Amino acid sequence: MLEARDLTKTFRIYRHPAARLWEGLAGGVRHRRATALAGVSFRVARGESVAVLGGNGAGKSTLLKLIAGVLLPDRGTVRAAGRVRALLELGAGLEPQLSGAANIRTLGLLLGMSEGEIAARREAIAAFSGLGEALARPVRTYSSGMAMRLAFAVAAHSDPEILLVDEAFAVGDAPFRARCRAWLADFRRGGGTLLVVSHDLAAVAELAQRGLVLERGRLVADLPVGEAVDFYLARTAAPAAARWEEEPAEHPRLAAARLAGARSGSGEVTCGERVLLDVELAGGRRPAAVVVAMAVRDRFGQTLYATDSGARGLRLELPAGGARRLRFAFAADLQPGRYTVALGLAREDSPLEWRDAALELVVVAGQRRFTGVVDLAARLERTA
Amino acid sequence: MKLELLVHFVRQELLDRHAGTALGAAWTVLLPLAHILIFTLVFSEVMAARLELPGLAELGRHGYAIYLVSGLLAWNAFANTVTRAAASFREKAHLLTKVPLPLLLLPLPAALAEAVIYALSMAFFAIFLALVDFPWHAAALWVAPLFALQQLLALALGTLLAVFSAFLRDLANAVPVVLQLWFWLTPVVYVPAILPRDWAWLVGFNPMTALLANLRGALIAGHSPDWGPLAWVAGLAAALGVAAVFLTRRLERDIRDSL
Repeated sequence: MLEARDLTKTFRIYRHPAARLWEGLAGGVRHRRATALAGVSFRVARGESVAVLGGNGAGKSTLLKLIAGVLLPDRGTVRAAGRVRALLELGAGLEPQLSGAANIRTLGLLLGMSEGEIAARREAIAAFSGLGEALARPVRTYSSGMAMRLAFAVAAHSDPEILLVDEAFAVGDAPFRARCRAWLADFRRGGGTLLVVSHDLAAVAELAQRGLVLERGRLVADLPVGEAVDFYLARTAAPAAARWEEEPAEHPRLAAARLAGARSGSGEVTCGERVLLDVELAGGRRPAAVVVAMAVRDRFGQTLYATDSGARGLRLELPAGGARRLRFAFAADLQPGRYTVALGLAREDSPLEWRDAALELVVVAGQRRFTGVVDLAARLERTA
Repeated sequence: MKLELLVHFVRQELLDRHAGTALGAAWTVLLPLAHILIFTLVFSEVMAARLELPGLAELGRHGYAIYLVSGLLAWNAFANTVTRAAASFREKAHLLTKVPLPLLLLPLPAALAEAVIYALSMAFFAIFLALVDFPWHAAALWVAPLFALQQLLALALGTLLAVFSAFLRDLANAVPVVLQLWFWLTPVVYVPAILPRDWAWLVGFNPMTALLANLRGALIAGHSPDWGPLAWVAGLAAALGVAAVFLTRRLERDIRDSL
């Protein structure tokens, strides 16, 4: 059981680092305050998995750090009945100059295991991490995915009762993720409590039963995870049209984009309707040949479709200081729901700009009925 | 559990600092030994003739070397403990922000690791003393509690500095400079008798003067401790220790925020 009551955390921002010391010693106020969490209360029952959703700066990581005890709250309490183990940030607690094998011991001790327990579980940890020969190499040579696999493997074998995980599932190869899923399922069946923060909404929806949505430090929703994801996405909806910075720049850039149904004329289209995506480009100091890319994603960030001007056989020459408009037209053969459109711009040799969730596309139900994500427009006929 | 973690941190202080080098852990002892050898060679030639200390003349031509090394080993442990403990919050910041650790655990490994190095160095020193037919005294056993008191002083001071340097990075640079000055204000390479009268009070006020005098008195001359100056040192260590614990508790939230 995990209970947070009225958790409040503000960070004091000082003009000079020494001002913090004078204030602590002599009193008085020498800072501005930035609120990270304001009066957050919730309970997580034994065996329950809860996801924390929210945009950047919403207070997700601060919440996990307060529960883990690496930060102290201004006000409020955390009560945790059981051993709390936390994986905060990538490569949490690993020593880069030591080998992977040596880090199993280091991290095990840091997570509260005894030397005996570590020795007994070393094989299992090595197998779970799937790092094999790489365990003999120093951790500084690891990719962030490998480091996280090692850290997660150790945490998984440290007898956690309450596990806090910050952005750990975005990494690792498919077999590792499968092992994680299997382990977490076991963990929950055994009464383990999980609190997870991730931007990977698909992973969150799969792992958690409940979702907490944080917005500028306040808890604005506590719902079953599917509803929580919808709630979060509705609050962070992208517009159907956008224009980006006006002044001329060094390099070519995306100047504006607009998305509209051919019939509806708005960002809300009927299933199957033709969608027109207009993109406006602004030239840089020098003429350049560029490629424009677009991607349609579902609410979990899964790319459903992506293409670019190069793939469509369109050669785009952008004159210095000039502008170009182009239009992608595609059919919204998608299940009703909210989708985002990402846009990118690249020179032939290097990427220039990438705007995730630049625009939002809302598909509403029309005549067509199907289940799944994409309407493949299957035709049915009797053949015998 | 916390004990095993502490042992691990001490090991790390001693061994892992030299991980990846060809000589590995041997550096832990080689560096202080080389340091001592250089000082002994240089100062035996320069200073030895002017030395007049009770009990020292009888030790013959190694008298100054014994005087110097006995002081230098203790001073090095003191200075390194203060420096490493003062840096401990910042150096372990990468762990503090990710794993729940008690703050007051962090300066401790420095004091313990330096004690291990001191014990090893003293073992080498004892071999040297045996080779030059040094007359042992039972009072030499006082070296252990005197050294423990010295390390407590260093730990308290280092922890206090660690609290301050969580907010003021500049301290990390200032500490070694101040210790350098402190070194020359302590009779490590010289004897108190050669000091000009105007400076004597400052050196007498210095807790390390009293500690080294007692330590050498016990080891070289076989004297029992001189309790007066030691009471002052113990009082100072206790006061600094209380201040360090109080400030760490009071400022813990801010320390964690600022790392």
